[in-house]
Amino acid sequence: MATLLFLVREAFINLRRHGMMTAAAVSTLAAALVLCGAFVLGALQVVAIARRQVDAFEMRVFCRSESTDVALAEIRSRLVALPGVRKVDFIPKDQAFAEQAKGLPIDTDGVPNLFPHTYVVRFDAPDRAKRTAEQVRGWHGDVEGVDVRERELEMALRIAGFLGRIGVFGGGALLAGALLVVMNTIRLSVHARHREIQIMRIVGATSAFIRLPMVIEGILHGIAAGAVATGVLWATDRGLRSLAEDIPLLTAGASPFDAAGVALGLVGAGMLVGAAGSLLALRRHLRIR
Amino acid sequence: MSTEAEGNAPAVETADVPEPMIALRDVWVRYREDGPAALEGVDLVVPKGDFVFLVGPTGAGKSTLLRLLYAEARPTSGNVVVDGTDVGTLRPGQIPALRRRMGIVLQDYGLLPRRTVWENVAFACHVLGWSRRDTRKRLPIVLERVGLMHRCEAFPAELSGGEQQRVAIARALVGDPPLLLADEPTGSLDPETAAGIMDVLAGAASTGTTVVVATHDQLSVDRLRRRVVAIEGGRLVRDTPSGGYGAGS
Repeated sequence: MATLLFLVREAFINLRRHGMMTAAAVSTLAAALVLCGAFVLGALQVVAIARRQVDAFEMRVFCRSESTDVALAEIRSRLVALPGVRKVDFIPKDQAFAEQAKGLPIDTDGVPNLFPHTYVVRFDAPDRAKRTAEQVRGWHGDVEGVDVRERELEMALRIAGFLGRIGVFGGGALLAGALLVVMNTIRLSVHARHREIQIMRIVGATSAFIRLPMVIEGILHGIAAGAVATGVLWATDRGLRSLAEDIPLLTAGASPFDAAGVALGLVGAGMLVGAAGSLLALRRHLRIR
Repeated sequence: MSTEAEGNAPAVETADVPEPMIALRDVWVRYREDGPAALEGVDLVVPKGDFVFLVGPTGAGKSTLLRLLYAEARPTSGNVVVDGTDVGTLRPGQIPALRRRMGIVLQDYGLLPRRTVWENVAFACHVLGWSRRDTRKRLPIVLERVGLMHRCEAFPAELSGGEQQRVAIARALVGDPPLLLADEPTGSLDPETAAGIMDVLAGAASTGTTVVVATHDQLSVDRLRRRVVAIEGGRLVRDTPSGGYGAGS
């Protein structure tokens, strides 16, 4: 326990006395985390917006005007029983006519109501919509027609999938690049202390004794860098939202900034990279011939 | 006991030596398989409590011999036994424990640059697993012994060469090791400071510590009249129990 306390104290002394190296490591790691964090958050927002569009997708089932309540109830129960269906809403023909009439600049008294009874179907998995529509079209009888914007849906699904893939591969590539830069910085800072490591070995320090304060330093670098990156992203988010608040199209679909989640993710990633970077960089210097 | 070697085969008497601290038997070292030998068939026994000067020109093999003793180099063949431990067969994980049983002083002092005098010496105490109380009790004693207690808050860069070397000696001596190895400890110091450093090392020997010093410091070797082992071209060529730096001294 005394040794552990000593090693933690050593790490803090090193941080203080290697000011320039600490600043270099923390700023590089923070820049990498801001870059990766911004990309991931941006990608998540775009994917969420695309997903919301897909989720809002609906299929309309038109029934004959003369269908009885019994026949309509039968269609409803069949629709609800279909796989992947989340919600079924009914719009009676009178309601549909009344809603349309409200928007018309003419007197609609005496105008015949040609609207059909309509069921609006929403899905758990919108990619099933096309198949479901084909199935319902085959019901004949009281079902007059089915309207589903298949091409738009396909497009939306393709865009959502594409953005998801870009998020994974682009984010992965960005993270790998950032990791290389960070690792290199950590390696340089450890290399600058290779003489120190050599001296520690000469006085009989074990590899763990040498390694631990430097790994703790790496973790502390990561915590500081994660905190800085969270602050930068939070400020950027605030700035962007205030700029875009007059454009509801942009802000309406955006998820709120989850500061705790972002901080947890960035500080965690920073700690991991800091510790792993120190361990890998030290490996070479601790090799005993 | 001593023999003056001639030609390629130095005769080094190693019998009748009780409890050797160091025993080298037919030790060869080659850094590259097809390269020249850094040490060639060296036999050497150093009894406990002895003070030995290793002398010889640059590149003779003095540092290699010392590096063998603290397992920084490995023998290509032969045996290196230090305080009963066969150093040549140690696994890497066992080397720190061996080094904690000895003090090592290097020519370039080997001090942690961003640590004060106190912290540099205390570092060795922590490596030895001492408590803070024991460290606080022992440090003033050893710093007084090398005359540096008044500079304990100074950083190495604020000290003269001689003072830095005394810090290194304090660090090496803080754990009362049975063996002290010094590689050119006065190499970059003026004669007066060098004499002071050698006196500190000789003082360590007077308390029972075995001391091996590789040096070019002719003045100190001639003044102290201790055992002198001369190495040339990787071979042990002279072993004098109480001699001077040169072959005829």
